[in-house]
Amino acid sequence: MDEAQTQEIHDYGKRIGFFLDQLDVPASLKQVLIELLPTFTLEQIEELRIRLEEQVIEQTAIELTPEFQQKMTEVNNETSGELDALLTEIK
Amino acid sequence: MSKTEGPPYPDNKKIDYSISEREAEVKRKRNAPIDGSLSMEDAAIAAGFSKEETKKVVAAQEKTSEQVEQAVEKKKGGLFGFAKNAGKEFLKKATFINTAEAWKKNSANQEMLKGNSSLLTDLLESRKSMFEMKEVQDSIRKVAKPEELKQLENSTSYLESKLLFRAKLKEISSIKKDLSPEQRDRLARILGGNRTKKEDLKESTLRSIKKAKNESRIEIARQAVTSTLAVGSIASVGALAVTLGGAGSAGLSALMGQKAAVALGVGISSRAGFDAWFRKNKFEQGSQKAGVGKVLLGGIHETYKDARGLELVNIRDREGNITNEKEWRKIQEGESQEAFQKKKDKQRKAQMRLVGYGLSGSLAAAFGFGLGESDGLEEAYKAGNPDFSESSGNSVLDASQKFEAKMTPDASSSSVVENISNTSKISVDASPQGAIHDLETLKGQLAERFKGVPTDKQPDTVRYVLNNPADKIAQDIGMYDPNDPSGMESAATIKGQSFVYSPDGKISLMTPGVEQGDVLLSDDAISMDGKIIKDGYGGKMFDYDGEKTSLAQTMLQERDPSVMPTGVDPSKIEWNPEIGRWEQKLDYPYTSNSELTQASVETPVYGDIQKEVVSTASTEQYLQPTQENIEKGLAFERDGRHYYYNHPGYPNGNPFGENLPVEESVQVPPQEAFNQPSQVEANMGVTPESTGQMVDVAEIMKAYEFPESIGKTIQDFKGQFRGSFNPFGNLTPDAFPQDVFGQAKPVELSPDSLGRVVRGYEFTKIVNGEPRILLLSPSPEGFSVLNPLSTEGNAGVLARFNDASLSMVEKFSLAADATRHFLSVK
Repeated sequence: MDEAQTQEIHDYGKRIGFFLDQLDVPASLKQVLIELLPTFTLEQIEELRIRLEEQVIEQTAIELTPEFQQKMTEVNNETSGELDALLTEIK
Repeated sequence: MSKTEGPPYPDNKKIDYSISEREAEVKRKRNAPIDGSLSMEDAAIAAGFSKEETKKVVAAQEKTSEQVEQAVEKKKGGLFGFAKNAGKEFLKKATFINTAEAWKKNSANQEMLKGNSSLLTDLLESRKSMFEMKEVQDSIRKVAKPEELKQLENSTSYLESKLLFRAKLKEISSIKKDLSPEQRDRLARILGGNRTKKEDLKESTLRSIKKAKNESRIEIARQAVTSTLAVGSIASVGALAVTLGGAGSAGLSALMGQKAAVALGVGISSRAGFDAWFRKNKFEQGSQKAGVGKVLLGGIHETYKDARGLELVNIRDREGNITNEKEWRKIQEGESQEAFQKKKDKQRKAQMRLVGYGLSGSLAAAFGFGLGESDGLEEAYKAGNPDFSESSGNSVLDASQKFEAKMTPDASSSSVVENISNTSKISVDASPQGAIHDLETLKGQLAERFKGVPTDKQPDTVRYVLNNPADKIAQDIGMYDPNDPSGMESAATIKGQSFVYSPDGKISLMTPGVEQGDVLLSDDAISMDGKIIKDGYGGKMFDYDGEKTSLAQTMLQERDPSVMPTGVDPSKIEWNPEIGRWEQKLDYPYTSNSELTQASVETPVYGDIQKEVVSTASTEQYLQPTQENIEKGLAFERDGRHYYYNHPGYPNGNPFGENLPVEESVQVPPQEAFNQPSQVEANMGVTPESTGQMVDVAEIMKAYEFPESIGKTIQDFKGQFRGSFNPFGNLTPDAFPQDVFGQAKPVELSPDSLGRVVRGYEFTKIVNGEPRILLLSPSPEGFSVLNPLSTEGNAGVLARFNDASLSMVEKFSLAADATRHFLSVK
């Protein structure tokens, strides 16, 4: 494996890592995928990479949608309020 | 969208944007508060403006009167030169890309910002600040359409809400250890609710996008992701979407992405480059050499910082050469089998966790691991794990696979039969094909061995094996359960194990290094009519066929915590609020508090005093301390007080005389009285063996952190707990992990309930001259938690938690709460 190929593989790993990083799922689920990765074949890893990329794109498209942004803003603010109440209680 | 004051303006000094200055500026920016106070220079940096552009602005302020006026205008809140441009630049994608590339080429920037984990947060904050800058908004308003502005405002609000949520979460996470069980539960509900709502919104949004065939939105997202990749950006997807959503331009995300790209200094090579490499190597057998996996995972680590525990072991390359000296030593020392078993266990757990997570339909589909898909994850897992499958993939991380291939005899050697004689044994090596296959092989060998032997002369086990198909045998001895709800239908044999028929008629599963095998089948296990009457196999199971069962499918379908999935054993699943899904229970049972309370609290049932425990105030017999009542340990009432006798802690009778002390104090039975096994056994019917599973209640007390305000009283109680609950000194404090206690939930015991039991472990307390007693009593079925005895009220309720479904942990948690309540009564 020459230097150029090593770099390519390394970059490929970064690409997968990037998608994993972006994906909005529980970290523990990502960890499961990471743990299973050593058992994958090249083809399966490439399949995973493709699926991850598709999922991130889909997720981005969702977050682009104004309606989603509006509703999620309300949800987030509501959650923040609840957390705030809990924090106040603790303090 | 919240508005803030305009940013403070920088001093009119010339800014030398040399690398060191810029470095200082960026570092300063990182520490800037999220209050819109970003300076113009910071904003310039955040916007990715070039040195020349920034210089022009600054120079313009200083050199011409017109520009001085402009500077004055600026201080009044007017438009600032680069702020005007900023608005335009927000909408330009090409500028971002070019600038990002320029930044990326600067090695000093890369070095400076590389690995700064907090940078992304800072960038989010800076973006927020940028949007709040009046100048930027004004600029944008001049170039953007009204609907784009509306979108921008929505996006900014969304970003703000995310930042706020994140900040609150961070704050509460920092004090998580201080949360009470109730508060932890509440936190879990809050977060679970957020996640559930979010997932619902995502699903419905995706449906609407697809229904409307809004390919453009998908395409915009694709471009955003691709462009982010192209410059090696590691922007958070939230910021990506928000900025992209604003004004409907990829340029907004560009600014965000640029900084992130610079931050980590990464440059993922082009897709075309990768594709070429992949095409070249994809189908080339043997192309995977040692180190490939390590390099790949190294790359993942670089962009996914949260990855943990990656295994970078390479033991043998495809040619079978040892490549890792350390592992080679392990092999030499014979440790490898255990090591690989551990690894396989870990992988199996990972697999089950994945199934247990109940991947949503969209996610599962997105991963291509959907139910019923042949290329599912389980399939992939199986294919890459030679222990469980014949599949031979060229796994990238093939170390263990290759190693095991070396260590495992070829399938053809599994039909090894020792030189047959009437006294020799038959041994069949466990193969990757599974137990059924191996039993079939063994059956063949037995048929050969007993060829011509009359049936009635054959051992029962042999007769049984020869008369039944291998899959039925596997089912009968517990090595195959096609209906297992968790999908773990097959026995997990490991390499090196063997199925052995021994001359005494037993068939065992032998493990190297273990003298006694796991007896699968013996004459004793076969009834007169030739049926198996007990399972022989007690080892681990796994999912051989990769097919998810109805359990998994049902869990995937149900996302409502109030709707119990149908067709599954309710005791085997639980609602996980953090992921908003039903999932399989893992290592310990858990029942929500409300269910537990309703289901488990029973009214008086305790031994032979069951009938008598009623309203003591109105029952005549309690007024008479007759010998019969004393022997029964029943209480009696006199002058408004309750008394009782025959308590093991008070061998001499009533501890509460007429002259009760007024001050609050703790009177605890002599510890010795409870630490004698014989006495406990005699009084409670509890044997040392039956209490062996107890945990050290002191640990529970520690977990519950009793309020220090109760002071010494608490300490006394703790001490008595320790002594009382460990009568035989054989408890195991680590029997239950701390996190189990962390999830234990309290039970509200009615303050005026009246519990009264005369046996068991007892704690007494005098409150205003009245005796208060708490009893935590062991019973043959386990611990019973009893309400505090109070002289107030006359409900006469004796609560007992004897539901078999309650774990010891749950009972102890109830005990702790009962105690806490008891102690708090003034």
